[in-house]
Amino acid sequence: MTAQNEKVYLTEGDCFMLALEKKHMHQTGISNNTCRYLLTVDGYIAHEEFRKKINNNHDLTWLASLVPEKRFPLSLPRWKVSAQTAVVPVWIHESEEFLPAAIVARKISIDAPPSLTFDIIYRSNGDSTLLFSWHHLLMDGHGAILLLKQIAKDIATTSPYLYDHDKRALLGLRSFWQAARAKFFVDRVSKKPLSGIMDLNRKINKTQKIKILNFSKDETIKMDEIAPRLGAQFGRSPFYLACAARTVCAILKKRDIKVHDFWIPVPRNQRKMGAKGPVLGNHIAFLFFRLKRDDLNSFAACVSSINEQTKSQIRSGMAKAYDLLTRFLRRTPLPLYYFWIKGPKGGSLASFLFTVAADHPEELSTFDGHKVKEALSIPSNIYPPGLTFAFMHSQGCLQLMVLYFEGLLQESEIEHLEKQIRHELLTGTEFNDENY
Amino acid sequence: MNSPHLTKCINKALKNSDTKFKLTLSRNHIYIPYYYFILTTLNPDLSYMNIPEKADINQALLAFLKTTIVEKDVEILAQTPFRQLGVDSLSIIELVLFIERRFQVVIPEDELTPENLNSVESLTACTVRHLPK
Repeated sequence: MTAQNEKVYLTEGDCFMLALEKKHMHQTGISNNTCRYLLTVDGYIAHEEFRKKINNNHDLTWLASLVPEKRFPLSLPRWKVSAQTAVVPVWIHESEEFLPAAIVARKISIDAPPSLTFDIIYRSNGDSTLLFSWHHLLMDGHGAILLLKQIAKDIATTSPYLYDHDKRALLGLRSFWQAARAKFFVDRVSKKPLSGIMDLNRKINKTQKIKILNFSKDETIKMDEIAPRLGAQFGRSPFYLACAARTVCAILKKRDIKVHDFWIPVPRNQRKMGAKGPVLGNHIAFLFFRLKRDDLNSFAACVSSINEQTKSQIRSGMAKAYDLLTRFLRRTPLPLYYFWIKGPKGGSLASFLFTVAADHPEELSTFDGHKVKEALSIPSNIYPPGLTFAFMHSQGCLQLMVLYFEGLLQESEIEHLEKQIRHELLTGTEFNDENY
Repeated sequence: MNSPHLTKCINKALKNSDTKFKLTLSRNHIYIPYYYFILTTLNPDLSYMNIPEKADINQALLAFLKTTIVEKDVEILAQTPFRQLGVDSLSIIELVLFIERRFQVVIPEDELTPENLNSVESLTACTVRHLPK
C-alpha cells in the first residue's frame, strides 16, 4: 500500500467529468453521477463477513476516501485522501423490489466520502442481490468490473493495477495542432440546430426511473444476425445506436416538435482488452456522431451514417486528437473548461446519452461461492439531457436499460419507446403504430 | 510533367536502375511502364514489389492486436475469435483500416461479414483474396 502515498492526478476523463459535475449538473441540481453494478446470486451473502472483507481491503477503503482537489486555478486536479474515516458502508435490505426506492434516492457525493458503497438485498426466494454503487468521477464501469473481479477473488487489488502512474509528458506543438483539430471538429459537428429529448418547458422531477428490457438468448442471436444485414458489419453498436436514435426521433415527432439533426457522443473504453487496471479514474475516449434528420427516417441510412462516421473518425485519429484536447484542458479552470466543452451556445451536451457497457465477464459467473443469476451495469444519467440508453450483454443475453427522469418522458411515451425499440431491435424493420 | 530538369533526372534514374523494363526516354516526358502490359508481355520479376504473403499478414495483424488493442500478456492465436478476446466493433474497424493502410488493399463492403471479421485467421484469408495478383 506504500505507493498510495504518491500523488495521483485525475485523468483527462476525470477532469471532463469534474467539469460536468461542478458546472453542468450543478446548474439544475436534478441529476447525480452515481453508477451501480448489480449482481443477483442464488444464495445468501453473509453480510457480516462481506463487510469485514470489504473493510479489510485497504485499497478499497483508500478508494472510498478519495476526494478531488484543485489547489490553484491552473493546477492539475489530483486525488486527496479525505480526513473522514474511511469505512465502506454495507447496507442490508429485505425487499422484493428490483431496486428499492431508498437505494435509488440515495446519492453519492464525490466531496463527501465514502464515494463507494455496497447494498445487499435479500429476496424471499433465498436469492441475494449485491449492489455496488460508486461516484462516476471515481471510476468508470470498466474499472468497477475490474474491482469486483478482485473482490470476488478475495485478493486485495495491488497498486500497479489500482491507478495509472501519471504520464505528465510535455505536449508539443504537434499535440497542440491535434488538439485544435479535435476542437474544430467537435464545434463543427455539434453546430446548431440540433434536437434533443430535453424540453425546457417540462417540469422535471428529481426522481430517476429505470426501464429494463430483457431479451432472451435466441432474441439476442436474432439481433446479431439482423445487425450485419442492415450494414452494421463491424459490430452491433451502430445498430443499437440507430434504434435508440430513431425511437427518440419518433417521440419528438409525436410531440409535434420539428426534428433537426441529433448529436450523440459515445464513450469508448481506452483500456486494452484483458487489462487488469487501472481501476481508479475514467479511462474513456469519445466518438461523436451527428445523425442527420433525413438519415433518421431510414434504418439502413442511419446505420450506414454511423458506420461511416466511425470509420472516418478512427481513420483520422479523431478519438486520439480529442484525448489530447482533454489533456491540454486538464489545467484549465473549471468554468472555462465547461464553456469550451459545451460551446458558446450549447444548452445540452447531447441529444440523449448512449452507452454500450462491457459484457459481464465470465470470471464473475460466481460471487462469494454463489452462482450469479443476473448482472446489470446501471450508468449514471446526467441531466440535461436526462435520457440514457445503456446496452449490456450478460450470459449471452442483451439487456437494455432506459434511464430517465420523471417528467422528462410521460408514461405513454415510455410505453411507445419500449414497443418501438423492441420491434426494431428484433425485426430490423421500421416501426409504425399499426404494428400494434 | 512540365519541368524538363526533373524529367531528365527521373529518366536518368530509371535508365540506371536495375529494372528490366526497356524504356524509351525523352527529354520532356516520363514514360511510366503500363502495369498490364508489363505483366502480360514482358513477364518481369516482380519479387521486388514485395507482395505480402499470408504469413506476413497474419503476423502483422497479431502484432497490431498486441500493441494497440489487447494487453500484452493475453495469449492470442490466429484462430481465437475476436469476441472471445473482448475485441469490440471499434477495434475491428481499427484492424480493417490497419490492413488497408499497411497492405494497400481495399476490402469491399460486402466482404466485411461476421465470418470474415471473426478472427485474425479469417481476416487474413479475406485480405489475401483481395491482394493484387
